Amino acid sequence: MLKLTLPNFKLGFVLTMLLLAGGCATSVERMDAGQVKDLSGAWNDTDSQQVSEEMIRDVLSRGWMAEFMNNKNRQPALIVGEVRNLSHEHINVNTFVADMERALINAGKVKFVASSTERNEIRTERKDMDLNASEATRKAMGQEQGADFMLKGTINTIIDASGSTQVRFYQVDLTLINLVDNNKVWIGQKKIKKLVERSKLRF
Amino acid sequence: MTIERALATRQYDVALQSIERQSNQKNQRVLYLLNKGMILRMKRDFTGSNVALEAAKQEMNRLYATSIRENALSFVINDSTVSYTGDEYEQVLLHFYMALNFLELGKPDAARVEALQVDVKLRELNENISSFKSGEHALLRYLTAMIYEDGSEWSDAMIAYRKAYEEYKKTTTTAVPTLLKQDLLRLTQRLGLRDEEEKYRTEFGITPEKIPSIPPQEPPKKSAQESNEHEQLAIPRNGELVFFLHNGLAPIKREKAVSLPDVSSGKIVRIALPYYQARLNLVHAARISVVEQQPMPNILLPNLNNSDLINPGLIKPDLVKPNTNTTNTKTTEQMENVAAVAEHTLNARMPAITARTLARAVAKVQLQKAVTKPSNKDNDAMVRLIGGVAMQIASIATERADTRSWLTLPSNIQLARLPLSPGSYRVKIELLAAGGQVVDTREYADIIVTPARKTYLTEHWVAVQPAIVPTTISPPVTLVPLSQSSRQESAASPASATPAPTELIAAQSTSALSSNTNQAIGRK
Repeated sequence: MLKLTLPNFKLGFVLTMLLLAGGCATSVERMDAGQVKDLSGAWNDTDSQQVSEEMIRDVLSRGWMAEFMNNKNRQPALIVGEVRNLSHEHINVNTFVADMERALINAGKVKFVASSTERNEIRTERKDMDLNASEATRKAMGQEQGADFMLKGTINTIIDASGSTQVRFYQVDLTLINLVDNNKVWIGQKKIKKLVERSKLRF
Repeated sequence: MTIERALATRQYDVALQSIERQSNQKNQRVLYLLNKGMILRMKRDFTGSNVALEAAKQEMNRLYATSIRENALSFVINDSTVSYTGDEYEQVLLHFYMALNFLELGKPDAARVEALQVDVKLRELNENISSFKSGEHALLRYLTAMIYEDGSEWSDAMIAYRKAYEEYKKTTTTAVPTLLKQDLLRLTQRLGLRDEEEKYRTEFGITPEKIPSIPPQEPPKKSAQESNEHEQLAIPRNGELVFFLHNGLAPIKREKAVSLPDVSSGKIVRIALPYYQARLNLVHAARISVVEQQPMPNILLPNLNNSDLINPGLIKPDLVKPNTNTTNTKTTEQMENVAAVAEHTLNARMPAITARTLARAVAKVQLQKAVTKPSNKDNDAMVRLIGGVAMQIASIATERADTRSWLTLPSNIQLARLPLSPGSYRVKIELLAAGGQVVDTREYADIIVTPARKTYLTEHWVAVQPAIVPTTISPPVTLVPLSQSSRQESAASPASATPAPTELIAAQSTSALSSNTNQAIGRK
């Protein structure tokens, strides 16, 4: 058993005080957005970027787009539906969905129409134009482009834990569904697996 | 004004201001965040509440690792030097309140995230901590089941209801709620689990005629896909209003202290242990009833149509018929006795706390002996004497029981589920005393019930606490030389029994080191 004598105690006290005094100032370090830094093992920016990279590469390289162009002779119009978060974490899905939108639009291959959450504001604005904007600049109602495909998805996780060790498995599935016949024309999938060891001791 | 009084009179901003004082205490950050989250909830600021509770969750995760420094300090000062990480039941209830916040905000998917985290958490607790008594978190299982059921995930819901039932059977603090029995029967029927349904029927003694219908029965479906298609064709099914009553306030931890001389050395040793003291609560149950059906607010319709909550097109004004059903009244049923769980947890921990307290007492005696030992040649007798007295005072003054707990938790949690046809409602909540008389009434307007979905409403009712005048009486503890037995002491531990308020011992020591300001909630 640990025997506490006064000198021991004094020494311990001084050490404790030194520990308490150390490490007080805030430090900031700029990082590249692509740099990997895992802190807690939870879903982070790196995961989101990996997902969007994989999905963009995949969606652009598949045949659905060429097929549509051959049949209809125009670019397909896409709409972003709901990406459901069915995981163990509160994950912001907007980041990789926005990444995908950007990459697809900028590649000049597809068009995106405003999603259901975005278009209400636009419609209100159009209604307002009807009343207030000049004849020449007024935009008429009923001219919206209908989407051909809807992008939907889910994020699922499986967590296996024992003691302070956890295996976290994420699976992101994105699907493009043809709005005419409900056919799924593309399914993208990204799996991420992490081993997280939680520390058992701290100061 | 005490926080209790502020809560009872619903002056939540005053309560928030007074807990701000705790915000800069490092080892009580979790408590501060938990209390803040709860008060914001009562204020119906669910987003703000979730920010605070999420921060508490992060902090608990950070504190998962045991601190070497804090534990070393706790060995010579007191248990309060260790950062408060929350008792297991508190850690689990944190998820409960976050899920409820999301549900009241109309974000069922986010609530589902919490449901999954609860599952991981309960698994972890079951595996790791020996003091964790399984069977005390049936309510959490029940809430997760409701969340799954609301999302048409029937098999997940069934599993969760089953687990809830198993846990309710294990626990002694709450009987198996009737609501759960009905849920089990409904889901076994829906999933076509004939044998299981029969088993429950015999266990509950419910005959087929009494089959409850919340929501109305439908023939068993084969898959979620099919059922969705079926529902879209059918007339709008009933929605449901789920009402949680958070009743009163959880018991408060107090300190019971004895000072006794150590026979072998003649030093005074102080031993302080925590115990729970119940807080006054007048409300026994709540009755929820519909006052009137309101016209659907038109402003809300576009938002509703876009939300993932409902199938667009189902809410049309002509489909919302005035509700002529006058039986729209339900009385709540107790789902979890938080106070009993808290006491149970403390009792389970008492041997460990007692052992630690006694070990510390021994250590403190050793320290005092070291100071007064005549072997230090340069010290004269006077210095030794002063040093000895100082040590004595310090060791007595620092010996405080760890009385930290999540004080804004309710004493018990009750539930009522009210099936309603889709529409907008004004509901009345009557809080009933044990005899059935109405203690207080609350009204909530614009409660939107959507087809085949659950709408959540919660109310936290806090009674005005009478001023407690602490009385000092001498504790019935036999003086035992410390060197002899720690076992005898722990057996005679005064806190293992639930004390009556009159037994309250005000151990008022003015120590700078013991920072039990969370008691401010109860005392000042």
